[in-house]
Amino acid sequence: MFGYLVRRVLSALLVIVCVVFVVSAISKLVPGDIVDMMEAGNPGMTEQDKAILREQLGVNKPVFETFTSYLGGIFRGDLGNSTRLRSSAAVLIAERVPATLELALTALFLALIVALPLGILCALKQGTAIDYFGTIVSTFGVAVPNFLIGIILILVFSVELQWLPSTGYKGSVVVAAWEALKAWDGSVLWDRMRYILMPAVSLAFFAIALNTRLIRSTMLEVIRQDYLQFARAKGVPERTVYLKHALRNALIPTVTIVGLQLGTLLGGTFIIENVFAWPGIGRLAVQSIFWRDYPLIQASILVAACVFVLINLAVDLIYRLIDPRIRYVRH
Amino acid sequence: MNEFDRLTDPATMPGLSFEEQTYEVSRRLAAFDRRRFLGGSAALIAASAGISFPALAQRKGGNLRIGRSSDPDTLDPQKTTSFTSHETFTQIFDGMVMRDEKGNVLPHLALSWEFQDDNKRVVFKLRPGVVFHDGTPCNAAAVAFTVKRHLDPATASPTKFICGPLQRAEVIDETTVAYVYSAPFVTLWVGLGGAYQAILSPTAVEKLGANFGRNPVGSGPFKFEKWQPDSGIKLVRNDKHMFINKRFKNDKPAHLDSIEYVVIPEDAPRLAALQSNEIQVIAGFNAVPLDKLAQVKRMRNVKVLTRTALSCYGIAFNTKLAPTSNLKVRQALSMAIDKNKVLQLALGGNGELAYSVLGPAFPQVLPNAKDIAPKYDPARAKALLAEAGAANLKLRLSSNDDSANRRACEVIQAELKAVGVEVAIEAVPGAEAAVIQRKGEHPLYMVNYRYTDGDVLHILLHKSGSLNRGAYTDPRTDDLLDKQRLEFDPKKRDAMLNEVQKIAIEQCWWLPLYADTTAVAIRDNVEDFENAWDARIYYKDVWLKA
Repeated sequence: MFGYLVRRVLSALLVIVCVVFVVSAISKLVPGDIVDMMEAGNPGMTEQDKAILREQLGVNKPVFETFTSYLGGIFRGDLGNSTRLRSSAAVLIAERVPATLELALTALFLALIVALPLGILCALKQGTAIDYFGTIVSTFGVAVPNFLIGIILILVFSVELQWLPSTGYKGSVVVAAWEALKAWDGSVLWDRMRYILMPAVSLAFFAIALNTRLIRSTMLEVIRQDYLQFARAKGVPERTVYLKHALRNALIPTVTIVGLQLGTLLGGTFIIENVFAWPGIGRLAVQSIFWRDYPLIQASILVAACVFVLINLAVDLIYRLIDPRIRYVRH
Repeated sequence: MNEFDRLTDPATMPGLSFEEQTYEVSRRLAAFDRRRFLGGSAALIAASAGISFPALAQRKGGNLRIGRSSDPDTLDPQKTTSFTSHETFTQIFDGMVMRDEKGNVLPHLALSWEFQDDNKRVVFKLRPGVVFHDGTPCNAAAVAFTVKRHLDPATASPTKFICGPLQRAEVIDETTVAYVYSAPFVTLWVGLGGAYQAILSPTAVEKLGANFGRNPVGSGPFKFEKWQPDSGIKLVRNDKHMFINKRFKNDKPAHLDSIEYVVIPEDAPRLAALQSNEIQVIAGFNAVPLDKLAQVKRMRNVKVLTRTALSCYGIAFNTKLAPTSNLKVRQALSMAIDKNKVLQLALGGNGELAYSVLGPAFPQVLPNAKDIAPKYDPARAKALLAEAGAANLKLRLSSNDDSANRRACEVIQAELKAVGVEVAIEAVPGAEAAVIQRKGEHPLYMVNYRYTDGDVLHILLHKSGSLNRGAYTDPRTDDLLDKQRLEFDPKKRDAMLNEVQKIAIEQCWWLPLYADTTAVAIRDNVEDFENAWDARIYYKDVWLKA
């Protein structure tokens, strides 16, 4: 077990370093640097001024050199400073983590509360209209990219119906829920919920689709098992057979998938946050790419990659706890 | 005539030289500050005795919410070039001077000034008794500290170029400071009149270090309170800001208790928020979308303030590349495009046609530009193209991908097609467009700029200019543009700038199209709001009608 853990952590570190390097190298391929961005709309800065500024900001170094010096900084516990926002990248990211987590967790929550009943229903009513509906929804969810769903939602609910705000952020829903509870006034909560609904739904759509299919198929598999027939023969009511005996076993693969999904959802926030102007890490990372703010690109990608890898690692380890049949064997 | 006009009216200072007048103004303003301070105490006593001043009381208080499309990057005036940041810290910091739309320089922190040493040294007399929000004095030492920091390579200021050949600032006494330049610098007021060169609290800068940009401390009419990234910034009134200035009607602290900047990135929800009174003002760079201006004007309880921006949009012809190196081709292309059609379709008509490289709102614009510029005449354009032997032209047009610019390019493409010229549009995001355009591989460039002084011609047409897209290298033009930077007599300087514009029109270097409109939308209970000539908004005068 310990050896496995060490190997996993080492390979995770390698993955993180590679991801950060590749992303920063690719972002350097786009023409223009941060000084060109600063000059845009500010005539008066001559080529000479720009050269001096590049020197002062240290942006004219080659990719590899920037990267190695950055890596050195990380080992000293320094994530660097944003060249554009002129503050500590660590602080900037920390400020935006709650918004991203809130969005991803809300999406995960949505994915579960929709997929669980839908998947179970589809399995129990296999071959009926409900099953076909579930299949259509899942196919749609897997096939359509989340940003497109986001744009369609904006067109329908903001532009046409004008029910929900198309973009923006008013603060944490969790905090609002607490305030609403204290003041016993739902309007505060609704005011914030309005903003998170569409981003969370578009982010959750893929997970809903996947989970529905997964729960449906595992349920179908479990339903046919002998022990369920035995339970029925014993006279256990159908409800209890499905919800207690069948669902529990059907949930094992789902739980592990859901863990992995949190990683995917965090990745999805990079796109969704930009569609909905949600002030999280994803938006910060994309803005920093737009600004050519290399230290901030590196820091935000580094943090995102770490979170993703850590979640995957945690899922692998938890796997064993959920299902004792799984063993870590040295090949 | 307000109090400021009365105190600074040259008619009240007969027989004094210009230099003596500035000292007299400085003496009067300082005396006014003292008197008003005592008057203020008297009013307080009167108020506590139960005597009310309804007209003034009515203007007090309230929180003003301002919607805009983006968040500042940093509120450290020396570390950004962002318009959104500039708008915000304009309220927090005071600059040395301010400028009016005629280019006149108005005292602000500096009450008077004197040029010495062949105009290479400017001695400023500062307003006495000014304090920063942290209570420390805004004196000569603070000014010198601010200048030193702006020029320091460690600051890596992207706006250092605005300082020109500034070497240092020397403290002479508590309220006297000298700016020392290595060469005369006529356009010093462009920077000193804006907030990028505003005076910072040295104590706060030293205490906060890199965090200064997130907790700015100045002496301006509003104090920084808090900033939540991407959602909002709150500023509260500085009760010690008692300046008088021609740009403020109000010589007492601001009327509003606080202002809040709210970020609403998309146009539609931002406009909806104004309609529902969730915000009272939409102002700032691109905050009121020009393509929705008609819709905003129809909104109930909403006023729209517009004026022509100090800008110009146009096509720069590459003079080093065939076929636009040929004057006849440039003239033909200029005659083939109906500017008004471009303005109507690109900006919905929200702008003013331009005939010189310098936009129509600049005070130094060539007065007879319209008469001497090539007129719209497609038939003549065709004839000229035939004369130049340029049949079946295929030209590449480089532009940034801003939606209005893109629409303008499409109209130009259609207009030129009518005279037999094929145009391929190459539109990419701003910074990439800048990099591509500098290579000089396109015959046509869609260029636009915003600036607050005619010196922008140096940037557009001088051989070293950063926006000289057409690679113009005319010795006469370069000479005039260099000399106007040393000419302190406004009349002589204007004559030089006029001559440069005349050359540019004759040589057809540019096809000026239009200047856009700056628009601000406010609820109708927002009073004394000015959409100023330089698009700077000062909330000191603004108040909310009950």
